[in-house]
Amino acid sequence: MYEKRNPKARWLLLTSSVITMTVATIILVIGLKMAQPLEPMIQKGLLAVDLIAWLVALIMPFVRYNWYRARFTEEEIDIRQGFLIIKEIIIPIERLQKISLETGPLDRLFGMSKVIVYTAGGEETIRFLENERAEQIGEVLKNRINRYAIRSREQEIKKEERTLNSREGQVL
Amino acid sequence: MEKREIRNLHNHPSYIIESSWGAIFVLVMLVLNNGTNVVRMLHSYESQKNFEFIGMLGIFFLYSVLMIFFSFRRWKLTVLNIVDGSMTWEQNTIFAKKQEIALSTISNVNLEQNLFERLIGTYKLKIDTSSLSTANKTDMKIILGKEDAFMLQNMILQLMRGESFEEEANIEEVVQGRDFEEQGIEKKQNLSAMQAQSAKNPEAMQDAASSADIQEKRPFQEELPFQENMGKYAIEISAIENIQCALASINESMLGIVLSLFLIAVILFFAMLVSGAALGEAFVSCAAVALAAGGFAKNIGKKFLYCYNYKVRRSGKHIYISSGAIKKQSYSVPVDKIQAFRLNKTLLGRLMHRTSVSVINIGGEQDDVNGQLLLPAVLDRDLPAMLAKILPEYHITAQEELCPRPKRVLWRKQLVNLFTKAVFVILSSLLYTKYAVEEFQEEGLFFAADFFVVMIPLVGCLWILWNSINLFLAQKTEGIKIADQLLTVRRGGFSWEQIEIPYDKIQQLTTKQDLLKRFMHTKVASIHMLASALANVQKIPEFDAKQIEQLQEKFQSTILA
Repeated sequence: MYEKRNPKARWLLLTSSVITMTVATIILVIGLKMAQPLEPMIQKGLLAVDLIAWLVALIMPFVRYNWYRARFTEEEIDIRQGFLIIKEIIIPIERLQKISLETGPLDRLFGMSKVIVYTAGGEETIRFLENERAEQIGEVLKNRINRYAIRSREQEIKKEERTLNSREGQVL
Repeated sequence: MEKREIRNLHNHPSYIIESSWGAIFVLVMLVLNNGTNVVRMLHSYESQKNFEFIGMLGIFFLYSVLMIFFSFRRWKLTVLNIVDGSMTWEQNTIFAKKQEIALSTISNVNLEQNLFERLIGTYKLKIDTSSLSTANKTDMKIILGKEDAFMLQNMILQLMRGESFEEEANIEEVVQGRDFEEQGIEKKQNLSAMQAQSAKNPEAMQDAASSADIQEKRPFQEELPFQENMGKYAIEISAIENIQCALASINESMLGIVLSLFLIAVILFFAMLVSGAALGEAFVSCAAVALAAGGFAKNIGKKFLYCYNYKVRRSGKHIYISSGAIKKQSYSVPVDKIQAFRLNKTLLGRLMHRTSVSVINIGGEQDDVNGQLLLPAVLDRDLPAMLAKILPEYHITAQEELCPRPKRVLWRKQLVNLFTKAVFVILSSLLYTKYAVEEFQEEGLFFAADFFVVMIPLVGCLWILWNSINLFLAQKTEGIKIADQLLTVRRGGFSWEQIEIPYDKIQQLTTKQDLLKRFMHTKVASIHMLASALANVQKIPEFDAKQIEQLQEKFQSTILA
């Protein structure tokens, strides 16, 4: 079953979008004022692009939130995200090397965290988690990684012992 | 004293100075260079201009103080805990970060000292795992005093091996490494025993001395380096064969660029002559372009030199490769470290019936970062026998065994190819006609002006045709096979490559589907593996969504419970 998303994540994404677009608009306005007198058509074009970007920035957080799913089983992590382009990622837990819990200043404002899992082939971020849930997931994954790593080491030791025994048998 | 955990371990206080030394340096320079001047200016209430100068200095001063403050804050809020076989590195600054590393996944624990640390007497403990994201940097590092650093390193190493940690009373033993000393004592005892035995048996004396000598020189190797243990090579490529291998390894892009540049050189030569330029001038322009073509063509020679005297053999769990004319190289490839197996065939290779074989593993440099070459472009009929000699674990999946791509993908790609490139060519022609023709005519280059009016659409059409044929060939070539133990994917058009990946080597699987692919019920995927940067992501081309879902299910079913 997919993890229940925290509703606060929508507002976090919206706040982040608004801040980004505000900064971008300020830079655009300053740029337009400082630039050589531009053709009115180009000025209007740039402002229209900015307006469209604002529209997208206000809608996308809700779309992203609705189209994000993450699931944890005994064996794997399954993440599904995206609306225009649906991306699905499967990561076996036994392949995990490291886990990182990150909280930015905005995340802290909304009580959210993200968990980043690292494998030998790359990394993936699990988003829209409450702090406690992120800690819980981090703890569970950490214990499972340890279990898999210990089991794999035990199997290697047994394999080495078998090889040594067979060599001794040959020598005798 | 048995100790299995560490709580709230901070960096050494010198971390504050080390991480903010730049800010401290600026602060000191500001004070030394401007301190008395500033005091004098403030005292004498000089003009507006000096207040601006004082303001600038004030900003630098404030920035430096802030940096030092942040370093202090980072030191205070960063702690290391080792509890229950897991290491937690917490940084509770503006961007809070908490890294959890299971001790059993740690690959390296190193100690380092820069100049400042040597003066202060501290050590930097660096911990690495096998995660790809931190391949070029350390996963975690902490600065500690000498005792703490060695104690922590020892503790982590012992806990990694699943042993219980016993704190060493004598730091010198830890520093020199008790295990190393024990090895040294053991070596000496073995040597004495061997010498005693050899005294009884003079014939064995020579062998004992040489083996002891080898043991002394290379105590950590189980077998001699293969250069000293050369058996007969299973495969040797002759010089003539090597020329053919080098030719067959040229891909069509390279071939296209070289031929195009030569063609441009010839056309330019005649165009300049017709336009009234001097013979020497035309020749120089032509030669410049021809040299550029030669620069691309040098890769053929490079390949020949790389694969000169190519020899391969298999011994136990290693494959040994030796080759090279000017730069000799000898590699050993551990078979169990192979992540994937790859066949490559270029356009010329198709015509010459030659295929090269490479494996994807970790490491490599320059030519090998995209995979280690096992066999250069050898004849198709000889390939199965050659492969059986050096890598019998893999067999070549025939094209007939692969499921092809759906035809609807071809039609879509052809339409997109036609439309996008046609728009590009038409726009280029229009822009040329509007802006460049007049300039050519003003300079009297009428032939050149008319020439490009014809050439741009002509080259554009050839480009569209070339891509169209490539897409058609890709449809015929590409395929996928989802077997029990491994995945086989063939991708490409004029040149193709076939990659075989065992499921247990896949680190993560990602599938993607945009709006158009959703409508057409197709998907693309990518596989992440433990390999060097160029080779660690292997793309699976567009196939039927059901096939990609089958791959997902197969991958999930092979994951251990």
